[in-house]
Amino acid sequence: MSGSSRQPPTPAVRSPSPSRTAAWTTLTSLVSKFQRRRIGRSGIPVVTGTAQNAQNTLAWPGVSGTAPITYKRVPRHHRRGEGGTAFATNVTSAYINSGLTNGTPYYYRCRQSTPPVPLTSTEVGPLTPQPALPGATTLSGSAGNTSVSLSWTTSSGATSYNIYQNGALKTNVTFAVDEYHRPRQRHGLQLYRCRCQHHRHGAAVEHSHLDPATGLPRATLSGSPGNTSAH
Amino acid sequence: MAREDEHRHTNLSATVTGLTNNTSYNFNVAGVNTTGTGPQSNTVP
Repeated sequence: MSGSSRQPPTPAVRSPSPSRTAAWTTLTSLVSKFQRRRIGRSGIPVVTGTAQNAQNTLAWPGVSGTAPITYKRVPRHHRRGEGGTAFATNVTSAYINSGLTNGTPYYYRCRQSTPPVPLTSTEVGPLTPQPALPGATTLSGSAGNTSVSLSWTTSSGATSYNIYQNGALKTNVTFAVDEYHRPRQRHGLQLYRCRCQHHRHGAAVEHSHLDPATGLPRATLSGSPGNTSAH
Repeated sequence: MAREDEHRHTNLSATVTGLTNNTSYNFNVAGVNTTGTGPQSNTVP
């Protein structure tokens, strides 16, 4: 008697189509990248940093536990674990590192090391503070013969001004601070020393002169629409 | 510390010429820095 055993039917295996395989590979890659971004390569939640005017705001929202956090500012090319100046210790939430220089990149290392939470550390940077937008200004003007004289109040934080004529940018003149020293009396004459600077067709022009009527530095802008020059 | 006899003066004025008499023009000014352009001023007709 021949023992014949019936083999269960082999299920048919459908090989995925090449397009499905490619799509699955792409999806897996995207998920992997997303996870690395959220938790970092070492599995530690990353610090989020926001650069603002003369300050950087740090937060470590994904860190586990309630142990205090130390924020340390480190040199740009530091080796892990070396150097740096702690500016915030025993903080448990977002922290603002203020009093910074705008335009300078800053790098940070953040550490949570109080037991029983295992030591975790991560880094963030560069964060480069930027100045706030200039403030508002008040404009006044008076019409002349084929001309208009404009004057305006200082806009906080502005390094130059845009003039708009009928809504269109007319010119951009950099008004540096005219600095002068109150007179030193020499042989009975009032002496002023001043410096003013503005841009003329993109090139900086610097010169010194005085208004003979007021004795103060004077800088004016004149020209015709579309062809404005400074002198 | 600034000396008492030291002053800072910023000239914020401009004269736009080459305009046509009896024609209405609107002007605005806005401050600019490395971050961007601030809000425009009031309009001067």
